[in-house]
Amino acid sequence: MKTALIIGSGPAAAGAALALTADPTQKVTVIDLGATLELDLGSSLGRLAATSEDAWSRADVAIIERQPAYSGGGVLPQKRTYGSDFPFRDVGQLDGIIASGTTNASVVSGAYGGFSNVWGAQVMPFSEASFDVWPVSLREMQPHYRTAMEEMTLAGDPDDLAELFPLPERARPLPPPAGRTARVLDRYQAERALVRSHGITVGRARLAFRAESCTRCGMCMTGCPYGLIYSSSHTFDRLRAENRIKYRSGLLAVHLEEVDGVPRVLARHSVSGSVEWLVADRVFVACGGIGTTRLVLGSLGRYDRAVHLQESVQFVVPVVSRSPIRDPRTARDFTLNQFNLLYDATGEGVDLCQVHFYEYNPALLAALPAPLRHRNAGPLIGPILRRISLGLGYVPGWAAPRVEVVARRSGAGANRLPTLEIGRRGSDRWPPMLNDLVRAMLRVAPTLDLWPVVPMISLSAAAKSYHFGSSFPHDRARSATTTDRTGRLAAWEKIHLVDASVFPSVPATTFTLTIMANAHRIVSEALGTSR
Amino acid sequence: MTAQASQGDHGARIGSPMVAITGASGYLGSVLVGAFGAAGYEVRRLVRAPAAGSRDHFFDLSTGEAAGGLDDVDVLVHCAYDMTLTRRADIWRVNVFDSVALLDRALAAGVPRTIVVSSMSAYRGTKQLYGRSKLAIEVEARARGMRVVRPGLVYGPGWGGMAGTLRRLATMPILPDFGSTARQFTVSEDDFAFAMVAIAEAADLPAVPVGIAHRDPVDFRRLLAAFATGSARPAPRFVPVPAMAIYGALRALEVLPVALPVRADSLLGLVRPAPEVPNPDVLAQLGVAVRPFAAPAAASAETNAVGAPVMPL
Repeated sequence: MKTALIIGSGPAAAGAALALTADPTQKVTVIDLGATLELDLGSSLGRLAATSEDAWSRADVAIIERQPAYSGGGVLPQKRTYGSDFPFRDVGQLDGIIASGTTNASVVSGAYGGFSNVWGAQVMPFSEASFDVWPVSLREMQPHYRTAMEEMTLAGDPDDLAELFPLPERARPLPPPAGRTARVLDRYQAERALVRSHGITVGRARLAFRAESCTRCGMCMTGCPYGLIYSSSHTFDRLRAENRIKYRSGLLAVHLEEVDGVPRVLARHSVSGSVEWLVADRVFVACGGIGTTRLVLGSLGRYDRAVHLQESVQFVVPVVSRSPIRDPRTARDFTLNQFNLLYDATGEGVDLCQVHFYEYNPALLAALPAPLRHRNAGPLIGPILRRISLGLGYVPGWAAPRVEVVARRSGAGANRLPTLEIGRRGSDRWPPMLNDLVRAMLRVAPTLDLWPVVPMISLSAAAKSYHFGSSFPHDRARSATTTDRTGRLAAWEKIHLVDASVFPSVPATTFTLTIMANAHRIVSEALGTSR
Repeated sequence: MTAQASQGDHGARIGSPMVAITGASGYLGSVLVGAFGAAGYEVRRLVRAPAAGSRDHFFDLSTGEAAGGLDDVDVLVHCAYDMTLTRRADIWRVNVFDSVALLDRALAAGVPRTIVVSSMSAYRGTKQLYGRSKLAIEVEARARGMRVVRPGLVYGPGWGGMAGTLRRLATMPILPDFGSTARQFTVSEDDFAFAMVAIAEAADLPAVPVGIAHRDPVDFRRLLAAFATGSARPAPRFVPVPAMAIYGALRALEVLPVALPVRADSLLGLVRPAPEVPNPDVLAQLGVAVRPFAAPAAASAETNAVGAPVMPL
């Protein structure tokens, strides 16, 4: 048997695990910090999951549905899942990360399943043109995309988005669209040519969830009680139950090296602080774009030099409509992303911006301006909620300011990750492509009855999108700063980086699917099992 | 090797492959009809008004109707683009959506090779509606594994298309000078025709848009002056004009029910041209060299009829 070690349990790790466990000659171990939901919250969730919705206790629902605190200023609050912040909580992985200004500091997850516990479940591959700057083609990625989509259980409907992102035949149908979404899609269909002439394509969301079992309880954004929304923890749960992997939690990888061609990982126990070396025939590093960057920089002693990551910068765009729908508080809808607006800034299918639109959920109420949240404003709330929705948009990484990280030698002694300083390289002003998008949205606003509230559009802080990577991009040849197609830096033969740190570019189309698929491809190619 | 140098290669053809050409009654289409015919192809014109007793097939881009027009076709050249439309939505619906529908019909009919005639106006980031619509067709064509060409400003004795419009403009005594940014990449009818036949016959071609134009752009003023030399009128006088002011005026006038000699969108294509000819190495690898711009009188001296270049000795 050959031995393989995966570091992490997020989507990249899941993609790697799927490829490794498909090879019966591989003995697979996964190390992870593995933070999970608190016991009391887990108990509430367990009771909800075990019963039908009409038997749910109000107390359990209130606990699981707990909303994050909204800080105002158009800044998105940190999401909660099942009432908990465990995907963001520091269980040792954030120790020594110093974020400047408003930069997001919670950039590495210590959770079992990583940030896929809180993702939007939006699933689309990168467009064919996006791979023009990769040494890997879309065609080569296709089988790996298929594997990832099958694992995630894709729900989607055929529409114009399929021109750039073909929908697999096995995609399951989405639940019916919510009120505003249905209106926008109808209007788009009626004036499709006009909207498209402005570079805008509209289509329904493509989501990684088991849509056929959805009861439309409306709790998607705080965690599906029935676990219908994919998390990479589901993959690991299954592989563990099938004894296909050995999973060890409570371990933080702090150093990588190869000795006489044999890779090994120094891991620190999060509770005891003791360390141990783990040796394998191959090591696959999946700590997330910044987590992996930090681990590699420290392992190779690359201190005090700035490394720039691409980030598909996020923005928030509230929209209003003239025609009201019925009060969404009385409707039963799923509350994940309902529809997407894709903007092709330059016409070649490369410079794509994307906006995911969300309809009503309780977090939207909390985000209303303070005067509207006053108790005397009650009569206004209904009419407002019947006309507003929220877009979460993304600009491609190459058209947005970068995230700069600098590793510093840790003062906390050996067996520690380096200190990592994070900030935004460049201005906090809107990227020009966002200006173009807003102009295009305004042009089609009368047609779609979807008016962006321009003064309320806000650019999220650096690293807040969680769509960052490209610190050690794949290239034709590997070097000190670039990886080959199997994620290897020049320094190592059997240590492979498999997460977004190796992306040559970070498009604005959804991120997680490609992370999982590319990790699957890397491992398949490294093992020689690629189809 | 120049475009003319190896035209004789086509004489060795055995049998007659069928090329179907949409927009065959238009300027570029008619150039291609002659070129493919001279190269030994059986040419099927897909046109809205088939000539009586001809082998033309009816084809209307807006209805997609092309009864039998794609049967037994070896090469489809899609040239058709409806320039008569004025509403933005109609332009997109007919020229993009209906073009894409045609591409799908070609696939369904088993046409082995399709070439989409795009434009040098189609470049990444163009704001011109014509260029954007051509880009949209390109994206769809490339997704279907089809070939895409971007001709520059085609000029020659046929005097059609934009070159024809500019030539008519050049007869005026006073002409606008839009400054040094207004320029065009050019290709003579002969070189365009030769390149198209070479692209149709190439066994393998990189999946990129192939520019068919000389790499050196021609200043708009020089272009008009050269076009004016063929007329008997005195040399025109150029007056500096802010292009975007004219563009704005044309945009405003377009809401009125009057016919204008040039559209605002077309002006945008002239004053904001592509930065370069895309992928010139592809033509070079096919042995095609596009010649630099020459005054039309000189260019026409080399040609005795559209699509029938004179062979150099």
